[in-house]
Amino acid sequence: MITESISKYSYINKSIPRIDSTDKVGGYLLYLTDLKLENALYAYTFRSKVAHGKINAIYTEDAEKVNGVKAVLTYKDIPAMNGYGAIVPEIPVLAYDKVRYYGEPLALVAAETQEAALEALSMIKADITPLPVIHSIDEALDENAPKIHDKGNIARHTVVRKGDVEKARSSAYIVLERSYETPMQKHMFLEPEGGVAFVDEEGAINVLAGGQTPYRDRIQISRVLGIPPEKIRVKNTPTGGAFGGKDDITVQIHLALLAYKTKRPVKLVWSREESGIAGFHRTASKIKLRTSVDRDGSLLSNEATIYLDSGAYQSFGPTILDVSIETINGPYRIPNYVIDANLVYTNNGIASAFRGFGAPESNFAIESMMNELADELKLDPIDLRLKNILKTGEVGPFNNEIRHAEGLEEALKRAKELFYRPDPTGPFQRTGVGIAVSVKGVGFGTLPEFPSAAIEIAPEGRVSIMFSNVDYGQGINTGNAQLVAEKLQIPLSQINVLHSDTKFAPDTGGSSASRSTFNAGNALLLACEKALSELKMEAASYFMTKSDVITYKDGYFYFKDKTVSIYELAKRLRFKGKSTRFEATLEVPRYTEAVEGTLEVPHMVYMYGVIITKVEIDELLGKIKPREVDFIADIGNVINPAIAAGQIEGGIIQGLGYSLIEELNYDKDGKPLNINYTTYVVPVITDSPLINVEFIKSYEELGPFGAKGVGEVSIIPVGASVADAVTDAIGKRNYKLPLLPWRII
Amino acid sequence: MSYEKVEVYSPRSLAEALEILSQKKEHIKPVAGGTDVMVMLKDGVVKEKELLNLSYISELSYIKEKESRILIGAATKYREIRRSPIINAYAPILIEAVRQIGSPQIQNLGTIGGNLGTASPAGDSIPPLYVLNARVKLQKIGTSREVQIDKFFLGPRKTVKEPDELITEISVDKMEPGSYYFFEKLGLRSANAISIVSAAGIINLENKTVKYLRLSLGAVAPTVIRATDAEEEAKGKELSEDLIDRIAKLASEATKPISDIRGTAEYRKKATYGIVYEALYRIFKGYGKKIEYGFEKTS
Amino acid sequence: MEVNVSFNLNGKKVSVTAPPAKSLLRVLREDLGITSVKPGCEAGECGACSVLLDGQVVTSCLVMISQVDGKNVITVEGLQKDGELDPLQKSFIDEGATQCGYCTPGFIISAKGLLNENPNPTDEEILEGVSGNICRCGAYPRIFNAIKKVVKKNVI
Repeated sequence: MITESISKYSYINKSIPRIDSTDKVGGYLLYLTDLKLENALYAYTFRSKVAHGKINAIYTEDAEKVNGVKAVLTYKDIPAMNGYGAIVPEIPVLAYDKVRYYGEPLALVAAETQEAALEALSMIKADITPLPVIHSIDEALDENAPKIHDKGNIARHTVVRKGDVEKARSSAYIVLERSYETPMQKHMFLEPEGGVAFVDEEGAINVLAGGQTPYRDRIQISRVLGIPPEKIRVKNTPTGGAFGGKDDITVQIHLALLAYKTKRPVKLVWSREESGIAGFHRTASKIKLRTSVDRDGSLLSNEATIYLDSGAYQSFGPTILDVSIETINGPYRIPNYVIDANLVYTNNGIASAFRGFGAPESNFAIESMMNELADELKLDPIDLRLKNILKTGEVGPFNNEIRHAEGLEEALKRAKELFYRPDPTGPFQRTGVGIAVSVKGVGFGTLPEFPSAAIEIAPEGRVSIMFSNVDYGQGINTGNAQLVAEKLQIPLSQINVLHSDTKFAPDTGGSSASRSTFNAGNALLLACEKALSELKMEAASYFMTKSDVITYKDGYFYFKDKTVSIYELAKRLRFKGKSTRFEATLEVPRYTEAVEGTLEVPHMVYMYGVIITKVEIDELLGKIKPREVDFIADIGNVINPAIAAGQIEGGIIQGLGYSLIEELNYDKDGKPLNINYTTYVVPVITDSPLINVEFIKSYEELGPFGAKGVGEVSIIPVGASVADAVTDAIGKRNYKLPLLPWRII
Repeated sequence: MSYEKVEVYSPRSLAEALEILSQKKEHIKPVAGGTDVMVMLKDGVVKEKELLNLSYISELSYIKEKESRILIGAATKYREIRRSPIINAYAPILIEAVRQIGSPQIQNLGTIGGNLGTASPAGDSIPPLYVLNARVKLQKIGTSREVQIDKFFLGPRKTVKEPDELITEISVDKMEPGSYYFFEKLGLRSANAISIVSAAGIINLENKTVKYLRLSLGAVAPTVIRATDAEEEAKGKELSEDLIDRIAKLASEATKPISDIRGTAEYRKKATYGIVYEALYRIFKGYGKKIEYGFEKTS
Repeated sequence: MEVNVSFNLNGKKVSVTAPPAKSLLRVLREDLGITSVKPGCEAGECGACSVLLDGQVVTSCLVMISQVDGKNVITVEGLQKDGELDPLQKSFIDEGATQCGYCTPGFIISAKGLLNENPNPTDEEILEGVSGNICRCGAYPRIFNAIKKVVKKNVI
């Protein structure tokens, strides 16, 4: 742990409570689905009960006649483009020619009362000719399989290679070939998708709905409505959890469309079951690895065939596939590799972003492989990794120069002290310990990003900080406030955070890829520098001297025995008719060229982590109890240790759910079976093991005050470490998550 | 039926409730704690247009002794059962089960009569009732009858209760002092879980010889079942690892499980073996739970 | 078809007219403006709508308004005394036991219900006491610490 007492900083490295926690514990915080607008219409979605079929007709006449109904919309009512999707806009806003998953939206209803809306909903009829349903990657790849899209069932295929794998493999001491599978995971955030929309006095459409990327939501709405983005406002928080599942569009376009058509405020909130049916989930994966090592354990080659189940449409699929490509080699020195990566269409809902975004899938494969190789080589699994990890300054597998890898080495060395098998608690209990390493890039890799952020200094003694990233529980509003407090050397109580709202904040991008602290933090620090530089000149005018002799400390400028506060200077600027809002744009550091065959590989900055998982298994029941988890993280300088540790703990618990019990399944008709908390079981407090989080002292110069990112790093290696611990306990290796008891005995 | 269209009757006495029931019969659905009915109502699967709210009928909530039996009012909440000195003293196996039902929130609402009325094979209060030789009292205007618990259930969500009858009381045997007992359930998580398999057992030993074993299994057949072959096998034999193995195997063979999202049929059979074996092994090794002499009635 | 129901809500008497089978959760949110109770599942599985009903924690989605006549209902809005946060609320802040915060009121109510009945619970009793609440952000270790800290103070 970073001990706060030795930190040289005043406001960072400190476990300050979340700035919104009083509202949260008091119950006052109004989430966007809590909002009640006067005169609002209630909206509901009419969904397909066929998972794959040709739409012949949608009958809405009877529904339109229901008293109180103000709108019944189908694809015919869409003003411009009938499509959205974060990467490829191929997801119909309302389906028109085909339905491709159970629950796909066909029509929208808005009415004066819930009852009228529900009655209308029950009167809509869809005439759909069913087509054969594709349930899995294997079925989709069958050459006789029906095509879900005209182009076929492969959404994206790419091959990335380096060196000569054949040659490397032929000289290897051990070659292992294994297949791994991971399930679809539901986000199961406590607050289902939903929000409100209204047209304001200036004619702008306001969409207030749980989300992660307000400016992308805005442009996606704009394309569908055919109106300029400036006429649309999107606000994405307060939001009751997201984890990637609210990163692409959920209700936002439907809300905007209804408000646009009816000119009335509209409320649309999915029920828990609707969220279960129509909400996003994590891509299922099937990954084949053939990996070779020489006698001393040096990795020689890695041949990977990756299949990700994108479901009916792509959403973030293409970039999820990229992350799976980038992480399939782990943080290791692998001179020869071939990665054959495929994004596959099925009729299983829509897969989209979920914490880790392709990395947990690949990590389960490569880290399980490392553990098995260590076994085969009779090497300690930590030593095997220490031998193969890339060192600072080395050129990585994707031609990237490795930065700050010493943290990983230190974490692995520390892990040695924690790597032991606990004692069993009963006669039928077997215990085991497992390990895995996590690596994940921060941000969008080689994709250009230019996040803007602003600060405004109010003469009344407040500094507002503005960024569009969304705090849905990670604590970035607090972390970013701490960064600004540190930069301006002013107390946090003087800082006011305005975020996640296109009305107030410039486009800083959204919250995903563990990059909100990095991008928004850096952009805010630039804005602070701009502010300080301008204010210094104003101070020079106040002191009647030159700016280069003025000093700054704790919110005041100093010249000889005179002082002036930033707020006094803000007052002077305002008086002169000048703005006290300072906006800056960051060019996110990146490699400019993606590796051939990829969209965004590689990243420049990586988070690292080492996880040790200790489990106990009842050998007669096959039930696995995670007892203790240690996580040693290199996330750069830690802005708020308690919040960062909370993120790591939360990721571990979500990862344990993913590893042990969580699995979304569909029936033979393509209908989802796990759609609520009764049928999709997530961990409760008694399932939580003892978790020990440790931070490696680390500093990434490219990050704000040395920070990297944290959100995704801990969920990624949980699966492989649990599987490894289970192997240690019962001697049988498992290649498929989750490790449900009936897969164990 | 959506909740807006449902009428609710809230009688204050049993007589009033039975009167309403005699008129409405299959058109009205009794609700005690509401933990099942409210979910069904939300899911739109309640076919009745009217609900009979039993929550104000205090005469249906009691726990009392009657000679060698304990009488439990049907609207007695799980929380009352958990806290009952009588149940603690004479039927602690029921407490073992009830404390594993749902969550504190569910235990503060749900009733034992409701668990029987819902008739889920995974209802956790039911296996102990089988080994406590429970009888269910069904009342209608002017008459009542008692049904043995193993004759009460016809299948998942099906019972012998007629539409004009109300479950009013459950009576159980007091456990014999010195008996060992267990209730074990296996869920996908460690609390607030639906049982994949559950087992309740009472075993009475004389020295090491089994005087009798009563063993019931939940979630492994259309209703909770008694593992009678296993019980027979145990009778009069000395408890040993071998015998425990045979009992657990016979218990497993008695099951007729299905595969669903909570577990495969094959696993349920294996887990039945495991759960019974482990429970009996603990007793064999001397660290099972035992109902002792000298419990005093404290209220 | 509607019933009139009177009950005590956070210390004040309220009367509502609503369909008799409407859930207490929906009445609180839609008719009485209490938004701390969250409709996370409306099936008694997530605990986000927990309230104290006559002092006992229940999921308000499973309670018909017809069952609330004459009862006492406490939501997290009712825990503050003279503008002071309840020790549990303070402890949740200090221990960083909230992430997105959507589950937080339900957890605090469950913990309150537990401590009302058992001011000195064991660790196992604390865990069991909030086992009917789901936190998908996984703040469980910190939620446990937050409750434990209040218990320690109770003991002293």
